[in-house]
Amino acid sequence: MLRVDGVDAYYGLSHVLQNVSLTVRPGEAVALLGRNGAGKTTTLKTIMAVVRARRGRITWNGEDITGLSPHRIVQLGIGYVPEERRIFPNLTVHENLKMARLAVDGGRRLDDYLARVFALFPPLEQRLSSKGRTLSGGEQQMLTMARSLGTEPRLLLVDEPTEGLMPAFVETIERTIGEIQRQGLAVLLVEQNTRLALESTSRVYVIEKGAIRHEGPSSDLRNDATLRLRYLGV
Amino acid sequence: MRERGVRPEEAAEPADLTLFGYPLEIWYTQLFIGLVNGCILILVALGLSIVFGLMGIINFAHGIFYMLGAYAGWLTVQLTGSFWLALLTAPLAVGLVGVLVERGVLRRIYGTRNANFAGVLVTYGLAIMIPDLVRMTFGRPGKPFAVPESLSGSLFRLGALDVHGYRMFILLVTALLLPSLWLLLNRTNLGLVIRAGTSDNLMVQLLGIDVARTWTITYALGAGLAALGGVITAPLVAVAPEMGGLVLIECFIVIVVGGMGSFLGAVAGGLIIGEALALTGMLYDVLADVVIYLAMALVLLVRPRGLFGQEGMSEE
Amino acid sequence: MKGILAAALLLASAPLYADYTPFYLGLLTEVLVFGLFALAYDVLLGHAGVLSLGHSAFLGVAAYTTGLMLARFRAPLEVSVLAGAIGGLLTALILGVLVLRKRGVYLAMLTLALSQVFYYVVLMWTPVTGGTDGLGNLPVLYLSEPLGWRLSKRPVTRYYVLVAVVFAAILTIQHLLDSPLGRAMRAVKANETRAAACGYDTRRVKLVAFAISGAFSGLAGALLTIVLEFVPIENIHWSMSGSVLIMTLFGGTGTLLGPFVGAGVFIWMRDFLSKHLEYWEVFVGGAFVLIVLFLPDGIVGSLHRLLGRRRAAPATTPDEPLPEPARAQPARAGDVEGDTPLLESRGLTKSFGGLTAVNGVDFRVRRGELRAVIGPNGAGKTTFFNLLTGMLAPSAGRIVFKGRDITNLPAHVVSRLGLARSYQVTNIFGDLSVFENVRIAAQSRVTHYRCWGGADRLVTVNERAEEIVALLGLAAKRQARGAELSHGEQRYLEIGIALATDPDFLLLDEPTAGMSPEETRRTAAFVRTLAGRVTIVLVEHDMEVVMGISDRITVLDYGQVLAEGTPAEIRDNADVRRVYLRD
Repeated sequence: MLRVDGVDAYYGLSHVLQNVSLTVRPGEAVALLGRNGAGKTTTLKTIMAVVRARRGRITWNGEDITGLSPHRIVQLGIGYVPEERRIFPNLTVHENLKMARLAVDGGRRLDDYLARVFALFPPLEQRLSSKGRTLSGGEQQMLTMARSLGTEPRLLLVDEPTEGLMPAFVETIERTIGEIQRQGLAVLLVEQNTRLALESTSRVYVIEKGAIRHEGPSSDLRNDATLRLRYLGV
Repeated sequence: MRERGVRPEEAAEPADLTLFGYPLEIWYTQLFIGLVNGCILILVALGLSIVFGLMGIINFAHGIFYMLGAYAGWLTVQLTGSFWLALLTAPLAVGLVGVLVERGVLRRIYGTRNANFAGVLVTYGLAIMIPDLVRMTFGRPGKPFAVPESLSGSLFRLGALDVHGYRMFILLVTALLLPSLWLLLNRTNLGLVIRAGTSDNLMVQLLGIDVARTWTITYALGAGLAALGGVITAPLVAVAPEMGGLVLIECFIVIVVGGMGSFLGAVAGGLIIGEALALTGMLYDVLADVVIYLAMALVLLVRPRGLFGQEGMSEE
Repeated sequence: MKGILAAALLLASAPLYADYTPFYLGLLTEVLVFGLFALAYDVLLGHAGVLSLGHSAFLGVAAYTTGLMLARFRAPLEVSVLAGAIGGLLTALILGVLVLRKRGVYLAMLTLALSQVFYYVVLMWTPVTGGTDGLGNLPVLYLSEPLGWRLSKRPVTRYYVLVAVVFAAILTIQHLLDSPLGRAMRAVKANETRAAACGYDTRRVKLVAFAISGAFSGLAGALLTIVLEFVPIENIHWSMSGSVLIMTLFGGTGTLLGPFVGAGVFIWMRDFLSKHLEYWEVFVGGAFVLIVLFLPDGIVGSLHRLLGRRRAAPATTPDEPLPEPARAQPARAGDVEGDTPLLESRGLTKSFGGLTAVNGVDFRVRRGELRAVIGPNGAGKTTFFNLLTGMLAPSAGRIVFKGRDITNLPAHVVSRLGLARSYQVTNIFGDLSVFENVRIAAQSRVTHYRCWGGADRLVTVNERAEEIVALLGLAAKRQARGAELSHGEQRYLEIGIALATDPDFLLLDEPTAGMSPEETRRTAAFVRTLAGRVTIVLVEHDMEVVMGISDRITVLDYGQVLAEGTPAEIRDNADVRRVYLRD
C-alpha cells in the first residue's frame, strides 16, 4: 500500500507539487490524470525519490520511504516505467532485460523471466540481440515495461506509456495492464489518453498545477461528460 | 615513463637497407619499442577511460596509482624477492587504496553542484599529497628496479629485430589482459552495469541496482590497472615519486585521440601514441615529447570526438 | 575602491614595519606578484566560469619573453615587461581558440596538455632558454630613453615600483570586470545557454576572458622575472598551473582580495612550513582537499558570505501574492499588420534517430498577432520552438524571419535579429540579481565587448531595464538573487529577460507552467498587454488562457499541423477534440 502525504516538490527552481496526497491499495489500479505540466510525472518521480520531496511523507506498506535512495525503493517493491523509456541504447534487448534481474537474483533464472516477457510481449523475442537504439518506439515501450516488471514489483508506476506511439499500441498497453493486474500487481498509471486511463483503472486522481483537484472512482469520470469536461477537457 | 630505445649510433652493425638514413634493423627495434610502450599506455589509459565514462570525473590520482603500483612492486620484491608476486600485490594493494579514496573522499562530492570539477580538484590535491607521503616513507631518490632474471636478455631474433625478453613479457601481459578486460566489460554482470551506467546512471538505479558499489569497484579497478602499468614499467624506468605526473597527461592524450569511452579507442590511441613517441624519438629527438601534444591538437581540430569516440561523450 | 586604497596604503607603509628587511620585503613582493597571477587566473575561473589548468604556459612564456628581451636584446625595462604581457596574451589566445570547442573538465584537461608543449619547447631549446638551468645573466634593468632611469637595486625602491605596478593592474582588472564585457562574462558563467539566447556569442566572450587572463598572467610573469632577476624553468612547468589554482581556491574566487590572501597562505606554507617540515606538500595538498570539500568559497569568499548574509534582504515567503503587472506601453509606431508573415517555417522537420518529432510543419505568423500553439504531450511543441530559435538544427525545411532565412543560424545570431524566447523550465541567471538579469539582456543590444567604462553607466540600458523590472512588478525585489524569488516571480523574470532584448517577436514556452490559477490569470493578462508591442507565439496547455487571449491557434499532433484557426473555430473542431480526449 502506497501512501503519499502532503508532499511538496521542486523541479530545479520551479515549485511543481503542492501538498499532494494520494494512496494506492494492494492490487489496485489507479490513474493520475491532468493536463501537461500539471505535475503527473513529477509525482511519480517524487515517489521514486528521483525528485526530492521537500515536505510531507511517503510510506510504502507502513515503512517511511521518503528519504531513501531510488534503488532501495525499487528493491522494496515499487517499479517504475519512465516516460522517456530510457532504454540502454548500446545494450541489446537481452542485456536490457538482464539488467532488470541483477538486483533480484543476479540474472540466474533469466530463462523463466524471458519466457514471461515473451508471453506478454511476443515481438521482443525476435529482437533479442538487437541493440536498444535500433528499436522502434513501440518496441522500446514494450522493452521498458518488461524491464521494469523484471524487478518484481508489487506496485508499478507507469508514466505515459502510449505517448508518441501509434494508436494501435493503446490496445497492447490496455492488455498489459489487465494482465499484470490479474497477477496481483497494483498500478499507478499516468496517461494522456483519458479513455485508456479510465477504462483500465478503478480509481482516478486529477492533478492540476501541482495540486490534487479531484479524486473518485474512474467510472464516475468515465460516464459523466460534464465532470470530464470540468476537470480535463477542452 | 618510457624509454627511448636505441640510438642509431649505438646500433651493432648497419644493415644494407636504410630508410630515411636509418637501417631497417633500427626501424624494427623502434617499432617494437613503440608497440611495447603503447601496450603500457593502453593498460593505464583504459583505467582512466572507464572511470571517466562511468563516473564523469577525470581522476588526477590515476598517475598516483601508477606510481604507487611501482612502489608496491618494489616493496614486494624487497620483502619477498619475487617479481611475480609483485605483479599480484601491486594491483591489489593499490586497488584497496582506490577503495579508500573513493569511499573517503570522492563520495562527498557526488551529486553536488560542479561535481565533475570538484572531482578533478580533489584528486589533484591528492596527487600533490601522496608523492610527499611516498617521499616520507621511501625517501626522495628513486628506487632501482631490476629486470627480473628470467626475463632479461634477448629472447630471439625475428629477422632484423632483436626481441628483448622483458619487452616480450609486456606484450604477453597486455595480450592476456586486454581480452580479459573486454570479457569483463562485455560478458559479466559488473561489466553490464558499467556499460549501462555509462549511458544512463539513473535508470540503473531505477532497476534496483546499488550504483554506489559499482562506482567503488570501478574506481578500484581503474586504480589496479594503473598500478599494474606502474609495476610493469618499473624495470624500464626510474621508480620515483614524480613518475605519476607525466603518465596522466599521456593517458589523457591517448583517450582524446582514441575517443572517450571507447575500448577500441583506448587500444588504438595507445598504439598510435606509443609508436609516435618511439619513432619521433628516433627521427627527431627534439620533437619527441611535443609530437603527442601536436597529435592531440590535430585530432581536436579535425575530429573532436576522437577516432572511435561516440558523439556527445566528450562534452563535459 | 576604498578597500583597494586602504590596502595600497597598508602595503606602501610595509617597509616601516618590516624594518627594511630585504627578506620580508622580498616575501611581500612575491605575494603581490603571485597574487596578481591568481587574480588574473580568477578572471577566467571566477568570472567567466572556465577552469584552466594551463596557466603555467601564460606565466612562463611571458617570463621567458621578458627575460630574453632583457638578456638578448638589451631592451629597456618597460618594453620587456610589455613584451612579456603580450606573450602571455598571445599564448592564451592560441590555447583559447583550440580548447573552447569543448567545455568543463574536458576543456581543463586540454589546457593542461597543451600547456605542456610550451614547457617542452623551453626544455629542449637550451641554447636560447637555458633549459633546466633556467635563464640567467639578466642585465641591469633600466627604463628607455629619454628617461633612461635605472632601476635601483635597493629592495625598498623595487618594492614600491612593484606595488605601484601591481595596483595599477588591479585597478585595470577591476575596471574590466565592471565593464559591459565583464558583466557579459558573468552572465556566461551564470547561465551560458541563456546568455547565448540573449544574443551573446559566448565562445567569443570566453575567448576574450582568456585573453585578459593571459595578458595579466603575462604581466605577473614579467614582473616575476624582474623580481627574481632570473627565469627558472619551474615557471613554465605544469605544477605552476596547479599552484595558482590552489592559491585562488584558498583565497576564494570572485573577489579581488581573495587571490592575494590565497597567494599569501600558499607562500607562507611553502616558505615557513618547509623550514620545519621536510614534507610540506602533504599539508598543501591536504589543505586543498579540505577546502574543496568543506570550504569551496575559500577564505575570503566564505567571509564575504558570512558578512553578506547578515545584511541580506529578507527572502520571499511563498505566500506573498504576485505583484500586479503595470500597464504596458501602447503599441509602437509602425506596428501595422501587413500581409507578409513576420515569422514563417516551411516544411520544418526534425528527426532524432528513428523518431520524427516535427514533421513538415508549415507555419506563418503575421506581425502583431498573438498565436497559441497547442497539442497533446509529445506533439513536438517544444522541439518546434527549439528549431525556431536556433537551439536545434532542423533535419529539413526552412525558417524565415523578417524575410530572411535563419534556418541554421546559431542562437545568439537569431536573438540579435529580434527573435526572443522564454523557457518552459525556468532558465534565468540564478546567481545574478533580478535587475542584472534584465539589464544584461538589455545590454546585449548595445554592446558585448566594450571593456572600458562601468556597465552601470550605460544610460539607455539602465532605463530599459528599469522599465521592464517595473513592468514585471519586481521593482521592490530588484536586488534579490534570481534564485531566491518565488516560482511565480521567476516565471515573470523569465519573460522579462526575453523582453529586455527588445524583440520584434517573442516565443513564450508555457509561461504559466506551475502557477496557481490566480498567478495564471495575471500572467495571461500580462501577455495580452504585451501583444500590443510585440508579436507573440505562445505554447500553452491551459485552455482557458489559450482561448482567452489568442488571436489564432495552431494545433500540433505527432509533429504535424492538425488544425489552425480562431479560438472559436478550434473549439468546435472535431479533430482537435478527438486528439485531446482520445475518444
